[in-house]
Amino acid sequence: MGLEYSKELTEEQVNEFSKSSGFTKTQITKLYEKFMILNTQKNGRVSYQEFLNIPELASNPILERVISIIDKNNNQFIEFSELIHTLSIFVVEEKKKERIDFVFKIYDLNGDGFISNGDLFLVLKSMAGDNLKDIQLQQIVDKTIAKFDKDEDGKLSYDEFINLTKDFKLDELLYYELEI
Amino acid sequence: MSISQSDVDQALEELSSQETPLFSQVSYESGDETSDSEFIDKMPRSKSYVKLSQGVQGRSIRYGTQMGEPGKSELTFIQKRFERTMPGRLLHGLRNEDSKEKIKGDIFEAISFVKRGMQKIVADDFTAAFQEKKPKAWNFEWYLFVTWVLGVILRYAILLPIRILIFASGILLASLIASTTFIFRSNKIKAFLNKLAFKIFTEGCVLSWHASVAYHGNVPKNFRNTVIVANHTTMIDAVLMMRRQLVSIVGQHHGGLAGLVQDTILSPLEPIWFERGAQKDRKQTVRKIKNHLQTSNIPILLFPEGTCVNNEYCVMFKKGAFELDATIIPVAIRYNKIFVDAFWNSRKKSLPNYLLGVMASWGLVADIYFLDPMTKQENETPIQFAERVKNVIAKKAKLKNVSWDGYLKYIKLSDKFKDGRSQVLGAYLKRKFQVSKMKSNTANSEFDENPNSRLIKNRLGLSITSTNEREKKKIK
Repeated sequence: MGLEYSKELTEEQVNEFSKSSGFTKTQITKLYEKFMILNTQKNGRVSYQEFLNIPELASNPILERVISIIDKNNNQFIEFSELIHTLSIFVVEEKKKERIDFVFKIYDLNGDGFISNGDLFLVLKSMAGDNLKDIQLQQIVDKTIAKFDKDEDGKLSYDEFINLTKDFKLDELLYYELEI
Repeated sequence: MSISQSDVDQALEELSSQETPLFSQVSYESGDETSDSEFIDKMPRSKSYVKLSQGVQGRSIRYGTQMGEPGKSELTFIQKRFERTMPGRLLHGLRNEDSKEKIKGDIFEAISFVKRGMQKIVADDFTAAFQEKKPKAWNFEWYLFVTWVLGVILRYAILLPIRILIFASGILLASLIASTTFIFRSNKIKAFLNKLAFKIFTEGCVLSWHASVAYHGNVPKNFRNTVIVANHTTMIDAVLMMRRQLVSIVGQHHGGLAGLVQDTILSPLEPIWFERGAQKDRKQTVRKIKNHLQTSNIPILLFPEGTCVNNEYCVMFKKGAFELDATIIPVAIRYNKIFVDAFWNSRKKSLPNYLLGVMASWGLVADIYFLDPMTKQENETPIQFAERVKNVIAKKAKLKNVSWDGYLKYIKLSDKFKDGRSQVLGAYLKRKFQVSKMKSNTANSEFDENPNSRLIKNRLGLSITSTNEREKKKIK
């Protein structure tokens, strides 16, 4: 359900968000305040540009990919519901699979369930810009895929990805405690 | 694990030794702006004047800008500079963070950024530094609520009118006395009258805000070639300083009545006024400052943060004040927020609103600590010196130390910063996968032996992983 723009959340909305995301009501209220601070245009949804207003986010190389995944309905804006849904993935310990899914989606550019050579290349390209020559980037991508591609089909399937993430406990890495 | 300065320096050095063109120009530490004409841009703003907002007609008084809100050309300069130095800043900023994350995984380095991104969306230091601290509501029981209401009535109906009266009469009286200086020719009498007017003005202000300030520390007697440097929360800072000690403030000169006030009431301070935007004037002002330092016994007061911060954080100190070859006296100003939050959020409240708010609260309580004088060491750059002083002040005033440039709050960062971001990752990936020709040094040889090893210190200052242990296990 969408959130009609208003400065405060109604009791009902707080309850609804709280239930669907697992945050407490106080947390929802506080998160909404933060959301409103981000939303300098005050239209109830945060655009990519508004994220850039925060220097720490502006210097984050992977910001665009993260935002495009948070933005489920692909309307180029992040609504509050989308934000807390994603946030809950990172702060609720049990959502291990969801965290791995999230990262998989970051690399799986075309969403076909495989991280292909092209996918990986493009994602890295968007992050590294012109600071690496294409050939160099290609080398990196090839090396990586070769390393983890068990069934040698030239791309990483979800299971192959899971295996490599198990190695370095990806889900733990991404989990953090929400201090709010 | 915390990252030491040497780690950061090493990482910076390695990154800047890459052949990416932009990078070779990035030097976070060294002076990338050294010309006098840009001095003013980096110069911290001090107390400025009040100019009337445009709505009021017929008056020649103009009152306004809060502590030196930067002009358009300054903002462009800052934006460009941020773009250039952002990779270095990223590293520097990361050093100040408590990085508990362990980064693992080859190409999936980006993962740390994912988590960091999510964290920052919700809570980042930059936004936090400019938010008013929310007071805890204490009036939730009925008797507390009644007490609170009584308090509100007392404050608004009785205290506020009295204080406005005091404030206004203070200014009026001071202006009156100052205007009589035109009658007399003797400089001595002029000086005396100005001093009297000044006293009345400052005491009037302080009384009307009901400021209860405790000054701590040793105030030196000799202020030759001294600059006082303090954290900045509100323009009241300057008045509180003025009251204790004559300080030469640096600010923009206004026309009209405000200018007259600057010339008369504030003249005992030996202030330095400049015309914003006048190119010639910049060099002049720098000269005036340097001259003042050599000849006067009144210290110069500068606020290197350049903008008001909420007294919970301490943002980047601009290096201007630290290049003057003067003794720096750090002053830490800490407001007790129980009675009023003195932070002036100039984006939210106009000056009159803010002052009324202060006058309508119980009172202003502050602690001002004069700390030991510091001088720039031989082997220090001005930026490092600034950082050192900043640490001292932040520690004393119990502020969280962050490295963000305060002026960033006036800029909307554009997509161009992608370049800076991608520089960091690009250089990083290059090193990781040995794809560029690099001169060999110890770090590299380690790397060459074990291409898949996790770079530890040479990373973006992110924390140290127990790579070696893992590698050992693998070999087994």
